[in-house]
Amino acid sequence: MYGYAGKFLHVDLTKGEFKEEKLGEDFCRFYIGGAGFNGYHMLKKMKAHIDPFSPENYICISTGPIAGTFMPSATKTVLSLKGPAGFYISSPSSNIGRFLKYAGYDGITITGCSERPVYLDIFNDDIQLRDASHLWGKDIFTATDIIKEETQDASVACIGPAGENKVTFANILLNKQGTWCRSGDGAIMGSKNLKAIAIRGTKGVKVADPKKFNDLVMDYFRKLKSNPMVPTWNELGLLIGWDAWMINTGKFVTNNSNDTASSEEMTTLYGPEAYKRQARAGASHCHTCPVGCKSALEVKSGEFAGLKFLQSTIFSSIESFGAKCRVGDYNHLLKCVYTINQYGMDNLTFCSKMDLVCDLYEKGIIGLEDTMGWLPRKGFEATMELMELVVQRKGMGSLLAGTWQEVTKNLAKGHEEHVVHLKGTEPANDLRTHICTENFGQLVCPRGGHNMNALSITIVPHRKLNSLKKFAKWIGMPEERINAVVVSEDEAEYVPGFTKWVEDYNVMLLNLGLCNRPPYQQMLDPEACAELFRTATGFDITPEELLKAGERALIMERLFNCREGFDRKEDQPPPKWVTKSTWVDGREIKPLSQDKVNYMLDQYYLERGWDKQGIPRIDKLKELNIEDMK
Amino acid sequence: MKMLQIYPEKCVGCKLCELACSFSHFEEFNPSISFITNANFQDEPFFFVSIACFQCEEPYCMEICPAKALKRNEETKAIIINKDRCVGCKMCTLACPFGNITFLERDGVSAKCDLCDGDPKCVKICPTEAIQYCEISTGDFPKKKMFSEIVKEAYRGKTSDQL
Repeated sequence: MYGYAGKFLHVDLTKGEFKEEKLGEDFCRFYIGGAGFNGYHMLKKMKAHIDPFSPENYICISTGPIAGTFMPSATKTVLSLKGPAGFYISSPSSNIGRFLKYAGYDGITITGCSERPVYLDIFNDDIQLRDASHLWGKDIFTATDIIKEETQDASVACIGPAGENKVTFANILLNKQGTWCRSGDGAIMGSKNLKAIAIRGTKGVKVADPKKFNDLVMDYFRKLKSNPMVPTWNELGLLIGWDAWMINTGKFVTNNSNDTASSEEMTTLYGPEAYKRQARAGASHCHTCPVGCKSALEVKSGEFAGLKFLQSTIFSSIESFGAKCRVGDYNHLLKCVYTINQYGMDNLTFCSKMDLVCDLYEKGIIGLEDTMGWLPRKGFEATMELMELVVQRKGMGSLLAGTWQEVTKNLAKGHEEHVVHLKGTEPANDLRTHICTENFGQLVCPRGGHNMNALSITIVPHRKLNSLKKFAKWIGMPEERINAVVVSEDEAEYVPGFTKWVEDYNVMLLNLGLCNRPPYQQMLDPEACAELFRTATGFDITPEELLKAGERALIMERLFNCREGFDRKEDQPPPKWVTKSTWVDGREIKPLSQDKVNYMLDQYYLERGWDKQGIPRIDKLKELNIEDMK
Repeated sequence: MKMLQIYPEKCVGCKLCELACSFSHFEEFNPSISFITNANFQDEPFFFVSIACFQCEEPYCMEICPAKALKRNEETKAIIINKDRCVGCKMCTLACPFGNITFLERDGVSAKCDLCDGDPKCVKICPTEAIQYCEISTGDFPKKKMFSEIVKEAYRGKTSDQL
């Protein structure tokens, strides 16, 4: 096969068995890869209502047909599983995907549960479940280094003590940097006694038309080189958006979503200048990407001077440790990040939960007897203390290690309105302060408060109609839908319908194994993607078919959730968003009205072809040829 | 005569050199058969360096070959393996102290960097110019200049009396 490796690997940890499954052209053209492949496995193989921590859960990891080639960013990989809160989780990350291809696989599924701690060692067709008893209990960095020694520098996805202890927001680190995070991916691996997955191989990825592929890719390199924003992406990563869409839009949610941190204070402590002076040691590139928007970080002074490590994005640490937990300057923030990465927990979940506890305590809703003696307060000491408790599930930590639903029941009974989460995942952004596809997308994202699927130009507020229409056309929104949906600059009007097309487009990129950050969105419209796909695989495809495959992947995720009994009620915002105001630099931002939320949900469901309850209609399933999955 | 000059301080570990190499030689994206290898280090997460054949003046690989399969290209000065003469004894892989010869298991012959006949693909694709193809006679000049900048900074602002 060209592009594709042509195989899935299925691992059963209980039986210690491995099976290969060949892929055919029809399957590949239908599901494409990444989220599409995972959706197929998740729906076909998993029964409804299984306990996420049971052996019946599946961990699916897939990449796309372009991954493994030298197309810039061609290494995106999607991990899917049923999360601790019971929802469909789909996490994207980088680097490991191309090694899957070199080992000879487009995707793997892992089910069952090992009797003893193991790590999965994949080297071409040689699959082993290696003893991991010497690794169990070790932090991610130490364990990854040992595994790399034992496997001749394989690409390693590893959990830390948090995953081992099934902390419901434990994450998985890829080569100590990339994360599969936010909704407890690591906890599921831990529940299977699976410490890590190590992948390497000596097989190659071939393309159907090498000369044309070379010409196409060289053109993309030229485009990236001449993109005037790329050097800034390299220098600042996501902080490139500091002025345009971080400060002044209430990005830095704090005080349990009752407020946002002062733009001035955040800029002084963590803004681009502070970042360059106190934290940045260089850029970090995903494999094959010339942009390099990740971070090489180093503590430059103070108690922790010399601490250095790589990270995906410093931004999520600023909004968590910085804004919510108030740990202080970069010297302290980086120490917190390093620590939580070693433990293998999600920083946004941890900090949001700590924020909740402090809020409830301040309001007198809980006391020291509820926190098992831990004094709720913010700051570096408190944060490090609580992280330690959570990873070990000790005292207060064991309470917070549960899902958001469990935390609500155990800490906020009768005061549920104080808890902010969607489908068991805390929101990264506050929809009250800015209605954009990213923020609205958090309502309807299958895993809850996550926004990566819905990244678009609307992240910058007050977009003009002609920019919106131009972007809509670029991402493949049909003319008649643009004319129906993008008719006013009132964000509540166009964002919901717009979000559908943005999500389909972003997942299309992911399915191919490509990045969806702005430098790539700017280069790769559906037509370009189709051309890459045809040239790499030799298979026929139209841009519409590629977009449909993106839509199909998302519908499968939705169907999975529907099967669990989830519908419109789980798409509702946290109570606070519709009842309480928040503040952005002294400006009061009123809550959304429930009517407005209902209207937006209705618009989105309409655009998606779902009924009023948010369940995909049968004619939509027929249109996508997956009516048998109902 | 030109040579590959490596600047590890510019290298970002993107691995594109490996892929460009294997693709140009074998029409396949496969780091395990690439003639250039990019190394990363667990204890130095920010450091990357690409290693490719140094095209030695006194090549041990050429000396040890019992089949006289290695010859120097007079234009590029690269040591080239003639796969038709190569018997796959792998002695060259033992002789090279740097590990720069690849034995291609599926073809049964050894293979190595041939400087792409004077148009090295790794140089073309490197996004940070961490690999350059430059004249030997002046090839070390950029490095000397770079290092002297560091020395200059150390002396910056000091008067000759202070010095």
